[in-house]
Amino acid sequence: MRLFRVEVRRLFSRRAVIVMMVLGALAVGAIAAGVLYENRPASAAELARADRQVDQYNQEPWVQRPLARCVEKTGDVERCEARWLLTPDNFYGRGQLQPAQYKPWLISMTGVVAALGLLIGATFVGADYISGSMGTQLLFEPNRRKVWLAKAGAAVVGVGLFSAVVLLLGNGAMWVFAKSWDRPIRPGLLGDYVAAGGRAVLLAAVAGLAGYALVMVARHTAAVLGLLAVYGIAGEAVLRNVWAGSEKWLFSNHAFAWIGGDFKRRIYPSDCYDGCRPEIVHFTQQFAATYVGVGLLAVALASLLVFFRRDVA
Amino acid sequence: MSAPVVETTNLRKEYRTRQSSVVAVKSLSLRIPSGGVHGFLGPNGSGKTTTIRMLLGLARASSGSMQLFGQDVPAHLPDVMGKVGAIVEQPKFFGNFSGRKNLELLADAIGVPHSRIDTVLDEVGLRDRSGDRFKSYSLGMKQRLAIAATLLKQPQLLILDEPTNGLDPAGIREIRDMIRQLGDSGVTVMLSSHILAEVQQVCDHVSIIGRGELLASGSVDEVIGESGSGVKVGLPDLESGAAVLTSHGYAVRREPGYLVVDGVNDNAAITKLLADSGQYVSELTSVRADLESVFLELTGTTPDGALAADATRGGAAP
Repeated sequence: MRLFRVEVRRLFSRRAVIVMMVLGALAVGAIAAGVLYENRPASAAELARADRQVDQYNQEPWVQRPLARCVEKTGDVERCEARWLLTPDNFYGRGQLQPAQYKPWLISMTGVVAALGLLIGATFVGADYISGSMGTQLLFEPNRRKVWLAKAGAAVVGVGLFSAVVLLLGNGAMWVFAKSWDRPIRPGLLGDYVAAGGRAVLLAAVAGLAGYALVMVARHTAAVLGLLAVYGIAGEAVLRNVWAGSEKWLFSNHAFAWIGGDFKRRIYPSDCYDGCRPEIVHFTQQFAATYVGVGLLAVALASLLVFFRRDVA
Repeated sequence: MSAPVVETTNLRKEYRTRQSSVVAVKSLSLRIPSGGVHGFLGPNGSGKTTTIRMLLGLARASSGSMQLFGQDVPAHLPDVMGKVGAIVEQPKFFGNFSGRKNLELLADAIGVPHSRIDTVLDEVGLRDRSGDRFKSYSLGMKQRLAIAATLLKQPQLLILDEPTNGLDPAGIREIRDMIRQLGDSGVTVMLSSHILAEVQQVCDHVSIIGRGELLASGSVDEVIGESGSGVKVGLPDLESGAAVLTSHGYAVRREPGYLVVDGVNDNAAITKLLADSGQYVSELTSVRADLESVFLELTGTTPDGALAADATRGGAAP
């Protein structure tokens, strides 16, 4: 426990870590601000302008002529107006904030904190190797299992705390604005929202642990970043376009399922251009948890084994 | 000799690559007794640092066994490491943390109170600069911080790998005095250094290794003595003089312009013997090996690649 506290202190003392945490908070803040701005309620001036524009539009001959024909034909004024006349909503140019539709912004925010969590976990131990201080630390605590666990714990707790605070602030702001704008909130929504937020925090912490474990194997932060860049480009971007079957195994799909719940995706064969029947793949939260968990366990065990056997400079 | 603090038996370290393997330590059996300062000498690439790293659990031995304070390591390293302070190669700390912060983290890791940090900073004369970032320190200050870190534990065994690297003459002397004081206070110091004159001044015992094996070990006087002392004799007729000395059982070597009588330091006896046979010496100088010449001879690392053969040369290697 003593070593764990030291590692947590070391983590939060590192300037690069603090910079990344601040950047993460700013990025999540920017996502929240963007969503809120794009979905803000119309002001009185905007409403008046929209009313003017809709009145003007609805008086145009290309609106009035078909409207008159419709009324003459059907006699149903209400239905014909609904069909042919525009309303002020059409001139606001934006939607309204829907708290029930929280998944897109929560997933975006989680993407940011998970990516930064991975970097934080990686750079945390990468600095130990680059500075050579890993050797110095082992001269004070030679039990490598203890050292590995203390550092891993610090990476998980540090990234978990960071993501919890940032996601709470970002999503808390969304919730507060939704309430103050009198947006509809269905019963049980808060519970779903909090549960999804908790899963997002867990995913970020897992990313922190994965970053840490990978650098424990590779010894260089840059090597892990390179590996992730290759996965991002070759796997997530290229592979899914040339081999549709790879969708089932791409991490991003399982991350979506983990945070947002089960979903289905229609996957068309790569060589299909017209008239093919898509394969429908179910991504479930349960399988996502197993898939990510097994991957993480494999990386963590490999990392521990390598650290146990490695000569440290 | 007291019970060894450090002991290795047939220690071997082999680095394997796909194409080849390099033996860094071949079969090293080493004993370092308790107390005093023990020099650990060897040319570059002889396996000194690798041996130290294996003892401290930073590198795995390929075969052989090691003990610290009588306990097998690395199996029992966590049990004994609290008694061991060490600097291996360059001081390695976080560059962006202050010297004090680096020490605080290490002290916290082993449960040493922070009051001890001020004590060790005072001991190495770094207290005034302890708030500065480690990366802003000179090499000498970095070495001092590393020594301060080793002292945090109040070690019974201090392993120092080139601790005076990069220090100015005043700094070297200061560190040397500190090492001597620690050795006198009962701490066992294992000092790896290339500065042989310094080792000779500060060490009670030495072990010399070369090509991964122990070449000589013992007190400084024993090791130098093993290499021998002798008398350089100048004579008008070297041939006759050599015959006289040899006939009286002396080991004589012929060098250009003079003779060297090995294993002797009684100049008067040689003068009398030669004078009695009508040979009058033109030069008579005691030659005694120093640690440097012994080291160069044992390790075969003289500048021209040949064994030392000048007037300072002692006897043959054991």
